[in-house]
Amino acid sequence: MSFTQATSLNTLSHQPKTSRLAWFKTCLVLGFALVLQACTTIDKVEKGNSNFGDRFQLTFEEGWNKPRTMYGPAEQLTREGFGVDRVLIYAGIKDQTQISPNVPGSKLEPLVYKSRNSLEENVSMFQALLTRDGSQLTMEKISPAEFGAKRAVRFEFQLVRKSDNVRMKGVGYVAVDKAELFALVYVAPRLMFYPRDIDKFEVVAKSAKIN
Amino acid sequence: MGWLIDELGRGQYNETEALCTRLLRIERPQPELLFTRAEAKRLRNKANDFNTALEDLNAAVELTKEPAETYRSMGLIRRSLGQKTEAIDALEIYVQRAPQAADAELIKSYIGELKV
Repeated sequence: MSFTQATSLNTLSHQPKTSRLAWFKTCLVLGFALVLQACTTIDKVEKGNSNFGDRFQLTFEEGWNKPRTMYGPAEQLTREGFGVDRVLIYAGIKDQTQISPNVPGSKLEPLVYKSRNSLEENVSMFQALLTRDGSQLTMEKISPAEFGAKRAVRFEFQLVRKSDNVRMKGVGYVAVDKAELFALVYVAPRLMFYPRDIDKFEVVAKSAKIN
Repeated sequence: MGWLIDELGRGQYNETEALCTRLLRIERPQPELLFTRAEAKRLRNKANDFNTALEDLNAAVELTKEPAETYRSMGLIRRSLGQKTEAIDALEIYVQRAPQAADAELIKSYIGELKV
């Protein structure tokens, strides 16, 4: 038995009954949380067409991981895990939908999609979303583009992630059709992962169909 | 100007407006602060925001040494208000003064559309 184990058991045996009960309750809650985390389902997006929402379709040439957790109203894809890379998919987001995920205790104003926004205003909305945790974003290029055969904007950015200072790079496409927002945003570490996977993302973005 | 751009990037437009108003009260009027407050209002886009943003932008131009982005804001507001000629004039000044800007290509495409 290690010193730490012996100490904790010794401490436990000297605790009053109510305190011991609280300790077991804490262990139970932590254990339950761990089990829940282990049960987080990750689907696989296989090669071929995948529908997102009612009006958005993407074609994949390779498999991507698709955790069931949403980021606000966005579905998410990743190749290596969210700590590394992430694709956010906005499929037919309606007017006045909150884009930013709810964070308990946050005093930040929620970010809301407004259908009257121009395309560059939607880019500003994504900039605000990506820097919500205090990360620093530099917009490198915003240019007219086509996305899902609709008039769109493509934006490129660099991001210094607040949590670990990792330098990230990203690309996004935004289009609005029938007042609904369609967007893809890809972000990955600037070294290795972004150069390795950006072409795969671009292939997916070019396959977008808005019905 | 860099920290003001970062401040705008947070998307917390009420806070940005309040910050700029406070700074404009305690310091002499600065075109960068007037632009930032105007841009926050433009992006917030609530009732009367466009009108008061234009007042700030005009004040920034009067002070001279206004950032090139002043004309982008002006042009985009005029474009949203359907004032084509004024929008083209302002956006063309922006593109001339900031040809290397990240959004220059997009703004040029807006000018092209407005001229049709």
